[in-house]
Amino acid sequence: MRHSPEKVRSGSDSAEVEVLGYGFRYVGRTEWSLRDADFRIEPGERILLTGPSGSGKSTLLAAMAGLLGPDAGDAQGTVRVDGRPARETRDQVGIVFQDPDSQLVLSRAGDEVAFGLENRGVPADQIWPRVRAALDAVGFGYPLDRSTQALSGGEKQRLVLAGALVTEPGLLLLDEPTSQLDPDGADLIRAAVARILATRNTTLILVDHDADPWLPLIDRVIELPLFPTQGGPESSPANEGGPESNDSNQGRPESVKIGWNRASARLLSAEGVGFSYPGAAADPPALAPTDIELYAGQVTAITGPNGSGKSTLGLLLGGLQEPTVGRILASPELAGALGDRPPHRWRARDLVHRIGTVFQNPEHQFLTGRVRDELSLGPLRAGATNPSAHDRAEALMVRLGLTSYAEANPFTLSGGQQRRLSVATALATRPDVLILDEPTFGQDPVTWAELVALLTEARDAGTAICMISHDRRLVDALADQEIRLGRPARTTSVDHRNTGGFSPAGPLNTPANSDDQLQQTSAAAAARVWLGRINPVAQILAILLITFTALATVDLLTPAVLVAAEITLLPAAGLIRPRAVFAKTWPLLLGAAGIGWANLLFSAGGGWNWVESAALALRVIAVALPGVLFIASTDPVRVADALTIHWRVSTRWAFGALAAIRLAPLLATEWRAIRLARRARGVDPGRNPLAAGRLAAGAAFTLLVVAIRRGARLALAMDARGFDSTASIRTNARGSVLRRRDYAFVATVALLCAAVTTLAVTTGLWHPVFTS
Amino acid sequence: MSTSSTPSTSSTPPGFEGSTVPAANHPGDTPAGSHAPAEAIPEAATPQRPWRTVDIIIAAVIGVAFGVVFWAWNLLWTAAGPAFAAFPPAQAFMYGVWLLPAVLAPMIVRKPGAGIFAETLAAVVSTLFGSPFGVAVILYGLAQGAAAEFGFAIFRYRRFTWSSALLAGLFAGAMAALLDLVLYYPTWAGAWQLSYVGLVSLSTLVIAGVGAVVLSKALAATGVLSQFASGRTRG
Repeated sequence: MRHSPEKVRSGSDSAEVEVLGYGFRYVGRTEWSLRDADFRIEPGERILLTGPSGSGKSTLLAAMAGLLGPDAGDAQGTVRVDGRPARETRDQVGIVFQDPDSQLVLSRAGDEVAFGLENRGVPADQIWPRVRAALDAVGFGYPLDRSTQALSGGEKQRLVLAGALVTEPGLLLLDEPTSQLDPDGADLIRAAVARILATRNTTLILVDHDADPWLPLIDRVIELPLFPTQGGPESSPANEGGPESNDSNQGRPESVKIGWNRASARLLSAEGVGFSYPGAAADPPALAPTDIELYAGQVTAITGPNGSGKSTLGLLLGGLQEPTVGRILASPELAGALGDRPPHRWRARDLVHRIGTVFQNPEHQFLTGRVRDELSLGPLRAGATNPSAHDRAEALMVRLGLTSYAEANPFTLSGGQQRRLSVATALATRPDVLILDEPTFGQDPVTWAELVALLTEARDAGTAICMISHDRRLVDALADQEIRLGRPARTTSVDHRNTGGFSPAGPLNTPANSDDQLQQTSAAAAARVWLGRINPVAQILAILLITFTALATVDLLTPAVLVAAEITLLPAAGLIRPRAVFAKTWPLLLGAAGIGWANLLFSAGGGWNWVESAALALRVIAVALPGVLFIASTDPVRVADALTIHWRVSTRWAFGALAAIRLAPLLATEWRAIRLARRARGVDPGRNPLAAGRLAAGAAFTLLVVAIRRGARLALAMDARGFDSTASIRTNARGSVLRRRDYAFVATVALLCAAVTTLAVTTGLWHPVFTS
Repeated sequence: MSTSSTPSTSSTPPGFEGSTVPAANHPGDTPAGSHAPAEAIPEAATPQRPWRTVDIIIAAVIGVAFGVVFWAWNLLWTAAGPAFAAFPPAQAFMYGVWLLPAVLAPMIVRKPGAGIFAETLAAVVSTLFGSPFGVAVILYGLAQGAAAEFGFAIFRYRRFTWSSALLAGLFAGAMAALLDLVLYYPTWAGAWQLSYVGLVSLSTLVIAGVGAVVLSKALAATGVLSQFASGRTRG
């Protein structure tokens, strides 16, 4: 039953690891990420690997996983797993990285776990029992066809863990597996790991900044020393008791007041503010109606589980988004000359020195190519003179220890430095109110302490601070007031059985922080509709036939017949309600109208040629509608399966493309965040279209940077599951079969195309392009 | 079938994990021209090293990111139409954005086929989001990507500089304009058609050609391209 002969030889489930004077320097870097690491881990040991940021923990795990090839950089020494170089033992190692969204490849849970087995050429009939076993092992309670998009962060990471375990590795590496999760999600992962360790003898090596909750599972701690500068809070009040189950307090948020002092001035308040995304289901809302008051010199913490609308509340308070119910009130002290206009209607440059917002991902907010410019930009926007903006930037750089990076590109900074910079850019304009979304995300103890010091300073200077955080220690350390949000209750039941499929139009309207609620309603139908059961390659052939038939001629009859045939197929693609049909077709109707118009007005013969223009508009619809049918009815994974199996498209390219396409909804939500982040930096184009264009171009560049970063992480995660050596051996767990009905479908379409062309020719209407 | 006994890919030199630093495997600053070491591809059909996963994914990600941009650009194009009522071919100046991935992906990944792959994928993604132009866009993607490849193929995929990028942009634009005339504007007079081809090509030369060079340099400056030769040659 075991797959690898080596494993049989060793006769053990657990691998031994030797690190012999190992070091690594990434290509293009001058300094080594890691040097002279030297230790040995016995089979079955459970190790916690610690050390400050930059001590090379992640690098070492990547080396153990055999992911650092000669392309990645220069190695020193050796890492051996069971006595063999780590590059050769990749099948015996499973690795889980921080961000689940940058590790998931496919759209359904079962397929996701099967991916690593397929890459290693495991025969299809053996795959599914092993997938089920791995999902059981991590306690994943959903069916195999559960959409990965509809999972919470913790559930996604569980799935990633199952994907790493399915090959039954002797060595399991966890690289900060909980750092991007909320407390509930982190608990899920720790429970899953505990469950695995209880039944298997796998060697475990773990890196996690939040180490305390893991300690019961750990045999030994190995510390990687590097930087002599270590002064952070080594141990702090651990989150004893852990996070209480937040699901119990649904509905109205609960506010806890600690040492509350009402003597200071109220600056900003929210009265029953709530938010629903336009077009998204209003039930449950992204944020249920909430009250909150922010006072000068006080710190307010907003807590609650993912999906409770914390980030949305931050955007509303930050004057970046208009609430759909309730209102945000700025006090006269804050608004000044702006009167009682609500903050979301303030101009960005008026906003930026009154309310500053720090986004979760610092990269969303960077606007310039130099740290120095980044810091002086806000003050300049708010009307400061050049020298004073410069002085402010210098002072902040000194305060934050960024002076030596003054000329560096902000994107090249480490995560901790980026975070400090983004807080500093908000502070640079001396806002009266500062809103921060997860300021301590992914910080190590040293940078954590620096941030707390920075925020304390701002508070003491009289800034009203509002921080959205899962970080219990941060809340305990700073908060005067805590607002706990509950998950907005759903009053209607929602179909959770959705399968793969793809409905990218949805996520554009969906908040970034509630992907666990993301519903792909059309995808749910995808597997069940009739057209979805036609093999994708048959559908593609049919589309090509229709396209060429339509494009060959400029008469009215041909596209009219084709469009009529396509319309009769709409129900077969699950497009029945007029509203659903319109939602999928309006862009192409608009395009067709534009094309008809352009030809009507400007045809070569002069005069208004109604028939020809109508023919051209209809032709656009005839060509475009099949694509709408295909996309509405067909699951992208099945397309990749069919293309690789029937047309021998390279599996590496097909599944690489699929993995990248899965990022599209994420990029759409990031795009929204990036746009809002510009306003938070004091930049908005007003009515100037040129400025709007420049702003959009800058935002697009940021999107590209963020996308490439995600892509690089995704590629690494895919290689960790054997994707890079899969070309010739890959199997397919789902398969793809061409049935009689597929041939019949293509034949019918071909017949239709031949018939309509014959009809057009015999009636003398057929009229090829460019033969006027 | 035994899986773990699968030989490691040919690009992994044996003995890498030994104590020596395998600096010799680094192609340096002129990767394509340096003829990757002998282990590249047995058939010797091309001087290129095989596609790494990160090459595939980043080319795909460029395609996907631009697919999202296309989606917005498609709507903008349609909405801006009336502004060009006096002389519709003039709208072609906006065209170049649609061809950016066809030039940008090869500039970054530096492998033959990156342009077709990224451009086609961008087209696919924009149709997934709902495109006014439907699946025809995917055919466009294939054709434009292939045309852009010529800009790099002329230099045998050894030069990824201004000249190759501008040529690629020009070729891709000419291809796109020709397709447009057949598909959408067959009734226009010859002079208009000609000026349309000229304007589209000019737009793609500037936006896609110059744009791709500027973008790839700006991306290199952010450090995200550190795994690519294009991210290391210049700051």
